[in-house]
Amino acid sequence: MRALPVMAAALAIVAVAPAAVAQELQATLDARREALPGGKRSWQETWLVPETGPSAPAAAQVRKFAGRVVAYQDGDRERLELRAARGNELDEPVVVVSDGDAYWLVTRVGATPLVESAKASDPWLGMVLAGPPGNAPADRSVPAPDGGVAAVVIRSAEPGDFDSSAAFALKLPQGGSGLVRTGLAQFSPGADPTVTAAAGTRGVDQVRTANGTVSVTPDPEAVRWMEAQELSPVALESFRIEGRLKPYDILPEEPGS
Amino acid sequence: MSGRAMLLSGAAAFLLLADSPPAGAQIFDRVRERAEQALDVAEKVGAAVVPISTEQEIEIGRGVAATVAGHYTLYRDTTLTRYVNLVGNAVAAANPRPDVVYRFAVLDSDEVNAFAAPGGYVFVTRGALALMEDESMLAGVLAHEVTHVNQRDVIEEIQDRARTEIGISEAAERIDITGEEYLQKAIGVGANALFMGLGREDEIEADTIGMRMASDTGYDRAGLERFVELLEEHDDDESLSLLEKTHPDPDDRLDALEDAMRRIPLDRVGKVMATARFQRATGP
Repeated sequence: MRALPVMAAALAIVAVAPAAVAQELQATLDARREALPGGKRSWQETWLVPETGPSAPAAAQVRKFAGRVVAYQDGDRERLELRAARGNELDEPVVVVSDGDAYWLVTRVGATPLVESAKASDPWLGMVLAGPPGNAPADRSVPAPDGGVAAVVIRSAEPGDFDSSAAFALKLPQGGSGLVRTGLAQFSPGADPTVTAAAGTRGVDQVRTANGTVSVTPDPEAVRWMEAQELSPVALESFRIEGRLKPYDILPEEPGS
Repeated sequence: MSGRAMLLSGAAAFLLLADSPPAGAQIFDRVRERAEQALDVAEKVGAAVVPISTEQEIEIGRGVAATVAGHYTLYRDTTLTRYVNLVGNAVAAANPRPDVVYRFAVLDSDEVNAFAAPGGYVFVTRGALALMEDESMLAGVLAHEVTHVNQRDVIEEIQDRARTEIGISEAAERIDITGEEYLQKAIGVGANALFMGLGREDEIEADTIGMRMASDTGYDRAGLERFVELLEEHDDDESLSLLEKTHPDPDDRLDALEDAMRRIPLDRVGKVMATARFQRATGP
């Protein structure tokens, strides 16, 4: 089951008039701005949802990786990048920037007021914005309408500094959303773009080992095989959740694990 | 005024103040000459550090990896390889280099060993996996190897070799680092470094940083320590002969690990061993 439909169901949001949606979102944004503490920081939220159905009886049953939010804040300005899990991959990020006065949805072609955009009715975005900004508790549960748990949110601080002029710009970097895709690293001073070698693979036919010199037939095809074993970000996150690696060590242990 | 000119005039001014004008003038010339020589040597030493970009590092790494995979044989079990990649990438995320992709593979050998080629190509042998008892041990070993990648230990070995073999004064002029010949030599030096062993300091550093990375990921901080203890217990085994020759004595490694483990704040200590998951992934 895909993550976003699960979250949508969890919220049980029914179609409402656009004006009412905009009004409700504006109230959420006003409250968020009021609650925004001063200072400069960045953090990451991982959203987990129940494996099946819109809610689970307890947080211990909420283990499916649904998406990730990376947030940057400097004073009254904020940037949120939301990436939902879709199959084994993460969607292109939804980028929301507050310039201190209003929240904007930043797209490839420019910025539009968030409350007037099509994303205004996005249930996950609504839940993220309704969450506490700044120094919030490390984790929290999002209640479902039926009294169960719709989502578990795990928050961790992002280390390192970021470039405010890039983070709060009301446009995506040239070339599309590629620069925001990897999150904080791209705003950090000194970050290098990922590079790969295009040349063919070589090898040497003789090596000195601690047990003497030996002949070798290099195996460049083995290197290509290694490179073909790709790992999706969703698979890696699910592995971390299953093993209760950090930051998921705060999750209760599943019975029988 | 350049730094070089400032140094020279500073030295001369000091001597002029210390001596009478005629003697000072002679000493000034002498000191100036010696300072020039010293600065020339210093500049050449600096220039002799052959720069190796990330692109070149990855290309060298692919060549070294092809050599390692040719010396042993790759164990092409996609399920096991995926598992090793999951553990390796989980620990690498604790302290990642943004410019490399970490790739992990299993070597089809009973020998107990692990290798890190430049550019993120990491290998662990089937024999090493067979000796391990839980996922935290694997995490510790892979974090040790990831640290070699992050610290560019093999690349530094290549740079050192270029400097010592060709000579300080000529290195910068003689090495065409974009040329095929240099690349092939670099791959050879890199492969030899893996099979002959890196320096003791590099290994101890990889242990302590790697242990911390695994703990930061959430794994039992003692995973690597327990694996090194197993190496010590099996020190008569033929399967450990190369590893023993290329790594510091287990007692030294354990001492350094104990010391480093004590420095991790208790609230940051990882505890996950994931024994059942490791056995499912590596078992029959």
